[in-house]
Amino acid sequence: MPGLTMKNELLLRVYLVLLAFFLFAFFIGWRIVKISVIERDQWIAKKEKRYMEWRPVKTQRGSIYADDGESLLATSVEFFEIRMDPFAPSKKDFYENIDGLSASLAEFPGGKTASEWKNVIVSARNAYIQKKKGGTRNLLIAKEVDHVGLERLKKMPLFNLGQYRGGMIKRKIYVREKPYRELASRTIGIHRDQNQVGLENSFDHLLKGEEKKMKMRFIPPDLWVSVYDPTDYQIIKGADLVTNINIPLQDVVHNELREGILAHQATGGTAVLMDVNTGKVVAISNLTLAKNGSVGEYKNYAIAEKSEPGSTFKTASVLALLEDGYATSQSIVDFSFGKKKFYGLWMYDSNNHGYAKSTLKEAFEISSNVGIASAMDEAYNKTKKWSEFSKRLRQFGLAQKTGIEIEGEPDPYVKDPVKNRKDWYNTTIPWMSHGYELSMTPLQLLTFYNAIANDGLLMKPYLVKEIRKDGKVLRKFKPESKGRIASKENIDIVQSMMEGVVERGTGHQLKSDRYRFAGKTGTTKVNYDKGERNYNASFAGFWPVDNPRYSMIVVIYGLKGSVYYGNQVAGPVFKRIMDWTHTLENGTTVVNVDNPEGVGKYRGAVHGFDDDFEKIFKGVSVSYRGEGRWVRGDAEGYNVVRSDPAKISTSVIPDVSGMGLRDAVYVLENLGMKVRVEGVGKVGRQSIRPGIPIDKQEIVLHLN
Amino acid sequence: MKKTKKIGALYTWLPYFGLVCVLTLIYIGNVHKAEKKIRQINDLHKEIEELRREYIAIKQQSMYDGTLYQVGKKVEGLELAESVKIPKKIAP
Repeated sequence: MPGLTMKNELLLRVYLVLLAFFLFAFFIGWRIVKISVIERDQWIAKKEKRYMEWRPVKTQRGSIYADDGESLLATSVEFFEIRMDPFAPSKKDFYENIDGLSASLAEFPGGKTASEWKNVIVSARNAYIQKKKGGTRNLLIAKEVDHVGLERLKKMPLFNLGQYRGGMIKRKIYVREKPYRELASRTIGIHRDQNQVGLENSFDHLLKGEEKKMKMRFIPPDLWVSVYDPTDYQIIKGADLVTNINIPLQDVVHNELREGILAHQATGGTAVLMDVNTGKVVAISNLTLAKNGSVGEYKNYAIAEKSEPGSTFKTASVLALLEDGYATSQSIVDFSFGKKKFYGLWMYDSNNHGYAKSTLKEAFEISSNVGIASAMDEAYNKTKKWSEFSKRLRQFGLAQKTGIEIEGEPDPYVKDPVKNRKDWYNTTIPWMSHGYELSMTPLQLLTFYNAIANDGLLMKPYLVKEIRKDGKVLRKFKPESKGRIASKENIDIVQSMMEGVVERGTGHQLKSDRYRFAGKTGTTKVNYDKGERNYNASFAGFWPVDNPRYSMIVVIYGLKGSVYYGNQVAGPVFKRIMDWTHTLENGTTVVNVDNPEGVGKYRGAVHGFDDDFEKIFKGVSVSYRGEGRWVRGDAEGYNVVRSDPAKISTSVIPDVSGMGLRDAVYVLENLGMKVRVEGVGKVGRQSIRPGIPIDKQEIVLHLN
Repeated sequence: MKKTKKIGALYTWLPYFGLVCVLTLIYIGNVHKAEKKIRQINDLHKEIEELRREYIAIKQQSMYDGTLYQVGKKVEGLELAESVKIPKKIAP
C-alpha cells in the first residue's frame, strides 16, 4: 500500500507539473494569438510610431569658392553645442560632483571661473525646482565644441556618469567658416536664420540643397537608418558656388583700402576691381572703421550705399556733350577764373587755376566745376534740351540698377526732367554736371567706367561664375553685355582725357613710370546744407591704358580732417592697388632661355651665412635645407630652397660672389685680407680669382 | 504499432525543425551583425566629418597665412621689403 501511495503521489506530482506546463504553453499560445491576431493593427501602429518615421535627411550646406575653384571663401564645419540639464542628475550625484565639474569647466575655454560655473549651475537647478525665473533644463555650457573638446567634456565629473544620469546634452551644429576671414566678407555674406546677406542670401536655395524626407527605422538607443537600405548613409549636399573673386587681388584691395581708411581716419570706404572685358567683379572690399579703431566688413557700400558721386560724374557729362555733338575736346569753355554765378547760385572750383577760358579737355583734366557746368549749361540748359541729357544718361546705363546678384541694390537717383519736373530747377543741369543732385552706388558708377575702358560696351557686373554640385558644373554664368553706350570715337576721346588727368591733371602725382593708367578724381561735400566738414573722396579709372584689363573705383567716406581730396585720399589707394595688380598680373613674363636677359645676375643669389637664411626662410614659411656654415643655394621647385656647403678655405682665396657685403667683408677680413668696395648691392665680381693662396693681399669687390 | 509510427514521423520531422531553429539563429545573428556594421559606417562618417573639420582648420590657417600681407607682417622685423619688380620666369 505504501508503495501504491508513493506511486500515486509521484503520479500526482507529474500530472501537476504537466498541468503547469500545459497552462504555461496555453498562456504563451494565447499571448501569441492575442498579439499577432487580435491586437495586430494596434502593435503595428505602435511600431510605426516609435520605430519608424519620415525624417528629414541630413543636409550639408554647399561651399563658396574663389575663382580658382579651390580656395574656400565660406564652408560649413560640424561642431557640437553642449547644454546641460541640471535637474537630470539625482541630488546625491549632483552635489557630490558639482565642485569637480565646475573646476573642470573652468579649465575649458569659456571664460568663467570654477565658482562662477558652480553658481550658474546650482542656481539654474534650484530655480527650476522652485519654479522660479532663470530655472532651466537646457543650460548652455559651450558653443562650437569640436570632437576633441567633446571627449574632454564627456570625461568631466558628473558628465562621466552617462547620458541620463549626468545631464549632458549635445547637439550637432554646422558652423559657417570663412577661411580668409575679413576678405570680401560682406559680399560673401552671412548665413543665419534671418536677415541673411550677400551671396549666402542670394543663392541660399541652391547652397542649402533640396529638403528631402525619408522613411527611417530606429535602432535603439540613438540610430536612425533608412528602411529601404540601412547601409546607405544619406546626406544631401548643397550646390557649391564658384565666384570671380581672385584671392591675391582681393588681398591687395582689402589691405590697401584698410591702410587708406586708417591713415585718414575715415568712417569707411569701398574698392571694387572689375575685369574690363567680362564685367567680372574680381575683388570687392567694404570696410568700416569701428569706434574701437578696428576695421571690418559691416556694410556693403559698393552695392547698397547710394551717394552723390561728385567729380567722377563729369566723365558722363563730357561723354554726353561729345555724343550729342555739342562739343569736342578742343571746344573753348568758360572758366570764369573758377567762380561763377548760375541762376543766383555761386559755383566754385576747388583749385586756383586762374583761367578765364580754356578747352573742355582742360576743364576735365583739372576738374573745373565751372568749366564743365558752363559747357553743359550752354548745351542743355539754355536750350531747354534737358531730356536729351537725360536720355544719354539712360544710354550710359547710369539710370538703372546693375543687376548684381546681391540683394539690396537701390535704384540710382537720376532726375528726369519729365517725371521729376517739380524738383527740376535751372540750377539742376549745372550741378548735375559735376555730380550733385543725383546719387548712385559706387558699383553703378564703376559699371559706366568699365564700359569706357571696354571701348563702349556696357557689361553687367557679376560675382558668381559657376554653380557646381558633386564636382560637376550645374550652371555656368557667361558675361552679359547690355549694349554700346557711345561711339568708339567718343570713347577714345574720353579715354585720352582720363589719361590726361593722370598725366597732367588732378591726378598727376599718381603717375607711374612702370605703367600707364587713366582715371578721374572726385571729391564730394556731404551734408553741405548742415555746414559741417564732411567729405567723400573717390577715384575711378582703369589700367593699363592700352588694352585695359581692370577697371576700379575707390571711394572713401566721411573725411573730416584737412586732407580730403580724391587725389590725396582715394587716388593713392588706387595707385598702390594698381602697382600690385601690375606686379601680380605680369608675374608670368617668360624669359627666353636663349637670351635670358638679366637672369645671369641672379645666379647664386643665395650665398651667405646659414643661420641667416634659416631665419629668413622660416619667417616666410619656405622650406629650407642647408648644410654647413656658409652656403650657396638655389631654388628647388616652387617654395623650397636647397643649399650646398660653400667651401671657405683658410689657405686660398674664397669665392664670395653672390654674398651680401657684410658677409663678404667678414669672411675676407677674417682671412687677414684688406677689402676695398665699389658700387652697391651684392658682390658681383672680385679682383682676385678664387683659389689663389692668401698672402695678405688687398682685394677689390665690385658690387652690382 | 500505431504509436511507433507516430514517433517515427516525429523523428523524420525533427531535422527540419532543427534546421529552422538554426536558420532562425543565423537570421538573428545576421541582424545583429548588420546593425553593428551600420554603426560602424556611422562612426566612420563621423570620423570623416571630424577629419574634414581638422583639414579645413589647418588649410584655413595656411591659406590665410600665405596671403601677401600676412607674410609681410611675419617678416616685418627682418628688414625685408616687398619687391615691386616683376618676377621673371624662365621658359622651359
